[in-house]
Amino acid sequence: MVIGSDLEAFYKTAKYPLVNECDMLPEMREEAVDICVTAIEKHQADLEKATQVIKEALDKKFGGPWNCVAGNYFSFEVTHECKTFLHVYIGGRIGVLTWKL
Amino acid sequence: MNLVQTLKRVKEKENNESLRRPRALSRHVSTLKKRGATSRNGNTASTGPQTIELKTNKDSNDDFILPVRELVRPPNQLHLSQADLAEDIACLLTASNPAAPSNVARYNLRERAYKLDSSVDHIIHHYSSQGWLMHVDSEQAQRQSANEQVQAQPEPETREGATEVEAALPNPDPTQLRNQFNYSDRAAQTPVYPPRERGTMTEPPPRADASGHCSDWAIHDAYVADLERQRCAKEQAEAKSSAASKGAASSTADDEGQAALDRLAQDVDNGLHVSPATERAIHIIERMTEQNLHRDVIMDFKYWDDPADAIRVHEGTLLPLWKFETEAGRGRHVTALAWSPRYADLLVAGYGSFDAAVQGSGAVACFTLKNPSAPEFLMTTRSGVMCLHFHPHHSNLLAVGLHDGCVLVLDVRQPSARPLYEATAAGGKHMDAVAAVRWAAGEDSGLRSLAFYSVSADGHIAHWTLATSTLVRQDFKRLHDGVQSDNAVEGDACEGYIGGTCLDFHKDQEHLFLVGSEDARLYKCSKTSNSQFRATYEGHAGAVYAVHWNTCHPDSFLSASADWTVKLWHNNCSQAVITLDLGCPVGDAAWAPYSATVLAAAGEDGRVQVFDLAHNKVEPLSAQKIVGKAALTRLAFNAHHPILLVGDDKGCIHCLKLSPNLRRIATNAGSHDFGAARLDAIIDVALKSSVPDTDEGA
Repeated sequence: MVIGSDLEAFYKTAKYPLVNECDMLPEMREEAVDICVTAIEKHQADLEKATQVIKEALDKKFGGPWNCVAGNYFSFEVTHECKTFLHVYIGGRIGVLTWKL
Repeated sequence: MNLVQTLKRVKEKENNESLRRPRALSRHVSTLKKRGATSRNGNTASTGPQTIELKTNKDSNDDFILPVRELVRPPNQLHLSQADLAEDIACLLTASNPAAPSNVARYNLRERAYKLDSSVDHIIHHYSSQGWLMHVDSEQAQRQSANEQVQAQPEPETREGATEVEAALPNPDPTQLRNQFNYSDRAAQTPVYPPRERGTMTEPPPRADASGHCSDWAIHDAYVADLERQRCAKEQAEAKSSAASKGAASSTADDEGQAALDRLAQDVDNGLHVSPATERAIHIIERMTEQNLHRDVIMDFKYWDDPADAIRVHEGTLLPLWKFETEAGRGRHVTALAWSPRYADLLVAGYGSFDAAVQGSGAVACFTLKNPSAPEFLMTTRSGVMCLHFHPHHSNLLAVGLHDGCVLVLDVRQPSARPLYEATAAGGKHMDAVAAVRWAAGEDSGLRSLAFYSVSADGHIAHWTLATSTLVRQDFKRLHDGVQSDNAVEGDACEGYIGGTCLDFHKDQEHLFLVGSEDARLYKCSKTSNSQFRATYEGHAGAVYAVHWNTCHPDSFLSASADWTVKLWHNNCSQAVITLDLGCPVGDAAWAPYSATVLAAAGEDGRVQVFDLAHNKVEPLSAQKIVGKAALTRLAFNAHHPILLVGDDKGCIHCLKLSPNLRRIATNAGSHDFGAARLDAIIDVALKSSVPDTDEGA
């Protein structure tokens, strides 16, 4: 149970991206997280657009078919290429899941 | 039926009929022709052209329809006038050929006479022609018409009116005609291979599965946990910085880790570090493997007896069994060999060099018959090993004499690199190579008083006592030439002193011992008196290499020498009782442990000679070459098994099995003295035979 004021305080503290699960190499992870953060911030209202942007950016950067899911309530079970999986929370509100296969 | 068709039909008919060619018909036709020609001459004559055209006789309903012919009058035809033409000429047609001979006579062989042959061919062919008409309904005609249609098709535009009809008709013949312009030169026809598909499967990039969920509260919890973690890290960093400022608070832990690392490195240096149980298991497996590998040798060792011995009573053989070699001893002389007094399968070998000019490090290696490939115990020494001796009761204690004069005591149970005791230069080592070491029997009431004797090439006989941590040396005696001893007191310390070469204690009277020397003499000493020798035995012409008391007979001993002989001595006799000439320097000789009369000698020619004095006092029962080019240096009988060890100067130890003839025990009147009585008798006989010589010599 989170009280509204606490929630506000939480959002204030949780402004950074938090990598929940990742098996990428450090440089790749950094870049991927950057891409996700910029896309989500740009298209805060339209997550579909944001995922599109993330996918295209990752495709351009690392090549290959990337997949992207963004939202604040979902479950997943994915098969991915090794070293291409990232599950990151952005801004304490939105989870972004990207993987390549 | 139009005219053309009719004509065709007629032609065909004639064609068909001409094929059959009935005789009567042709006759009939010819008649008709004649008649037609005559009857129509009147009609056509008025027109008067050269050609006469005959019209078809439409009226005739019979089967014979005349063919249409254009008669061309030849230029040489008779020109007949009207009168001539009008004249009737009676023309009689007969079926017989007027030109044919009617009186053909042929000789008949059966009747032996010429006979008239009535069968004359009357047919004359005036004209014949192959026809080329065919019936319109016949199969051939249909084929031809079909062909004509196909040929007519490529240009359907040229025939107006017929296109619609032909388009409606299906193509009667589907055969395609070749496009004659679509061709290539033969020279340009290179093979064109059909494209083939080819591919390899590569391994897909590795994949992994991931699952999870994302929700508001999961995100919240993750952030809270992360914040907590950050806070902890910050606190730790603060604590660490404070600790660093405090100084070396954590140095003790570091030291412990360093010690553990050192231990680990030490283990790595020592080789594989395994638990004792594992080590034991590995040991057993190694022995099992060796046993499987050397199964035939083991069977020989256990069961093989030379069947030839039953026939050849005065000969015996040695069967080579195992060979023991180790890397540490390769190329070195086997300078010492001994069996463990406690374990019948354990042997120890010392490696070094007898050559004083070529000296290097040495080694002591313990082998077991169960594992001939690797030594159980191996210790390298800085100087060459010259002699060694197992303690008869404390079978783990091994006394070792080195070439540099040191004596060591090893514990062969502990595979450590250090000896238990070591007599160094400070502890009073010998000045020259230690030639022999022997544990003193009867003195070991406790570990404190364990002692052994050593004899060295510097002439000293030393007595060593094992103290708590050192060896205590006590000079027992110095071998010297009695004549020159007076001069030596004031002169050179080494003057007149003789290097000892071998040492052996009496089996029963434990104070008595024999020392062999380089001056070819044997000295009998007693522990009780170190002032003088009990006896001196002379007779050898070269350095004595080995001396051994008989194992079963109390008063006899043998000596092996560089003068190619092995001599048998009696305690009470200053001269050799029996001399055995081996034909080469004798490296070592030994009594057999099971019989007083059997001895073996190892010669430098690589032969092992086994004598049984009960059977032959001159010739060996067996003289067998063991090694090709090497010299044999040491020899040792096993006390429990009928096997013999010989060492060569290449660092190899050979294990030999004695055949049954070589392990006979000489019995005398049923007494169980292992041939001692027999040896007594032999010695008596030998002494009696040699008494006159000694008398003469005296």
